[in-house]
Amino acid sequence: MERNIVEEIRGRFPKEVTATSNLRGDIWLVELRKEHLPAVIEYAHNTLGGNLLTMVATDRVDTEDDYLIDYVLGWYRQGQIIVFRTTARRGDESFTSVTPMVPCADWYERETKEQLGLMPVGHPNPRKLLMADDWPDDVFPMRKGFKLDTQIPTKERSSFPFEAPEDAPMFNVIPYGPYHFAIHEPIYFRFHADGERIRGVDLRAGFNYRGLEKIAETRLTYETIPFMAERVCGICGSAHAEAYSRALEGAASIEPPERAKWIRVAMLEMERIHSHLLWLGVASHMVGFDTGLMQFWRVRDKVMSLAELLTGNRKLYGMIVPGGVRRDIREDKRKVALKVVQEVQTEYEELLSAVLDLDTLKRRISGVGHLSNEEARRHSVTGPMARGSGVDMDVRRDFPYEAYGSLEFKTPVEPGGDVLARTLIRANDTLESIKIMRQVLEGIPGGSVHKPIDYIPPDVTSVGLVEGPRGTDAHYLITGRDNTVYRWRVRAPTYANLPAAKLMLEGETLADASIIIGSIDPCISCAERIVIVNMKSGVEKVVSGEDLGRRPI
Amino acid sequence: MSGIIKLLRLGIEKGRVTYRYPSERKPAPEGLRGRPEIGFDTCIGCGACVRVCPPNALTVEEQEESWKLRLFYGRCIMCGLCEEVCPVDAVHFSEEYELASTTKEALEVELQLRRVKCVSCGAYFTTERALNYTLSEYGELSYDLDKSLKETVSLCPECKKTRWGDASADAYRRIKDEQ
Repeated sequence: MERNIVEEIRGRFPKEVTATSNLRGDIWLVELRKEHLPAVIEYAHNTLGGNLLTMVATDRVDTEDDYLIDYVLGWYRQGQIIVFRTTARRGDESFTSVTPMVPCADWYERETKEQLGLMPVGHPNPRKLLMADDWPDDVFPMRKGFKLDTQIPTKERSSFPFEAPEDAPMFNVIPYGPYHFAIHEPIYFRFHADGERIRGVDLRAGFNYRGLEKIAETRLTYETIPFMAERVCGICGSAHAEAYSRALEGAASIEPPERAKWIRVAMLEMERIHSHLLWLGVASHMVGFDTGLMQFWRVRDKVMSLAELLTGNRKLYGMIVPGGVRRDIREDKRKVALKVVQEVQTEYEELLSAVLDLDTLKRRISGVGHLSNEEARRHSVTGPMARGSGVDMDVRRDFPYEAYGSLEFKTPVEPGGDVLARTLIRANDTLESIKIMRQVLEGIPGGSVHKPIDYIPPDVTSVGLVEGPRGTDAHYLITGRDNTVYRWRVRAPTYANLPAAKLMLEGETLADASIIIGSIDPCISCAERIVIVNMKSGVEKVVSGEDLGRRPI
Repeated sequence: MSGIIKLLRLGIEKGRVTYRYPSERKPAPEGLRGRPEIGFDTCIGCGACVRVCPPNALTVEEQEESWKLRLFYGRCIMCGLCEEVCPVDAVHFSEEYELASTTKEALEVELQLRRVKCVSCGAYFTTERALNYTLSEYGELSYDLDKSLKETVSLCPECKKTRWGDASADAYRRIKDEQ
């Protein structure tokens, strides 16, 4: 540890910080008064270079008569996580927004506003984020008083206030989504295009919001949440189950058995190989290189078979649970798995060398969708997005969890900041993952694979970080009574990365929009048609799917 | 240029790797969690699976004489928790993975068990099979606390409470009297 961030913050703000304490290991708690929040967060994020991992507000009105507001920042190189905590009294449901200084807090604060009714004062544009357009403005689902089966009277439909550039009427508005082939999840982008150039971008998310966290708080138990967590994402499910399990195990101060830790690493790395191969295929498809799609997916299918062999299912393994894993890797299966990993490595290396030799492909994606190092830091992007812009961060290396401390691997970093850099990151990351996978299968220690958790103390705040294929998965947890969680907040990496899409898209051409959005690797579905509205004449023209196939978008 | 030649070679060498589903099928892998099946003859109706089911795919409907377990495949996430907790191994995850159906009814399974009356108050309280299971599991235990074990387990929870409450009150009184 080169510097102690907590000491630095206490030294800089002796009066503002009311208390500091160590939650456990590398997680610290810094308490401060509400009015000092923006200054401290700005200093921690912009000056000290912290990465905003998550921001959570919790309704404690039933017990403490206040709301907890926690900003969780992580310093990867120092291996420190700090939870900045402040409270808002009941009756004064507001806090000062940090978004004007720390733009990456935008989504978190909007979510806090609509889900808990805590107003971020000074937020430049506190629009809706996750809730539907006709959701009433005074019903807050994450408050404890909100019952899961409440029937909501929908308010009159109002349209979402999209942001438009100043001289917008001069531009064409191109709707992109909510279902589009480049984005496998429903999300809506609105481009203001001047001919082929994108001059303004705004986006609307939340079409898939289902209130998973509320269900977890009210209906699920500690044991059943990992299965729901796994379904947060169809591709990096294990990473979410792992992040939740880590948070819970941290709160209960237990460690899973050694063998379970290694099996978990095998699960996570298998998932990473699978995810990156999937992405390489999809990205190839987005730039019109369908041979790449077929070939990458051919190799990917071997990884799926490997998953089948080890867990019984191709996806949604249901392996990682608090306290360990559910299935052991039998000796005969281990040997077969090792052979499959070897095959995947040979095939992948062969394919990658062919693909990286393609000049047309390289020229198609280099210099496209640029995100500078400063912007990457300022927007707290994570995973391959950050590493592709030269920000060296990797949870596996900086906060070693499970068996990563005893495994050898490198974290690829590319300074380019364009789509090519992010592609190379994922391509090289896959090779590293294959290496880790082999180490795990060769050196896995014996022993049991599960240790039951006897007691989980209530009211413990915990954070579980996992390096998912797309970046850092941050699960925030407050334990509760009666075998249920008090608060659980999932921060998937795309939540941090997607707002940065705006920066990458502005000034680029429409033809590159797919691959730029795709280069974030948003967990995402597809569309058949787009509507082009000519703002001058107001004429709408609907382009059919067939027609679209012949167009570059 | 060399990249294209390498790719061409790869394409020719590897050839077609897909198979002609559904005429051509791969065997299900070992340990696949496919369609869960309930053993109609073995299920005792304890309801343990219903308690652990994360998505509420398993639900119970209790009527006077019948105990109805419903499994809706549309909600099932194939997590396998029900299989883990079942005391009599009545849940089994089959190798069948094609669950698509054009009707909702085809995705529902229902199991109905008879409930029994409490020997004391006459209220229905558990299934016949659960009662028999308890007797067969604990019947051989040597410590028979009450006059007969059969009678104790045949009481509904309310009557059990009263019975034990009365018994302990009696015992307490006896000890007091002796003092």
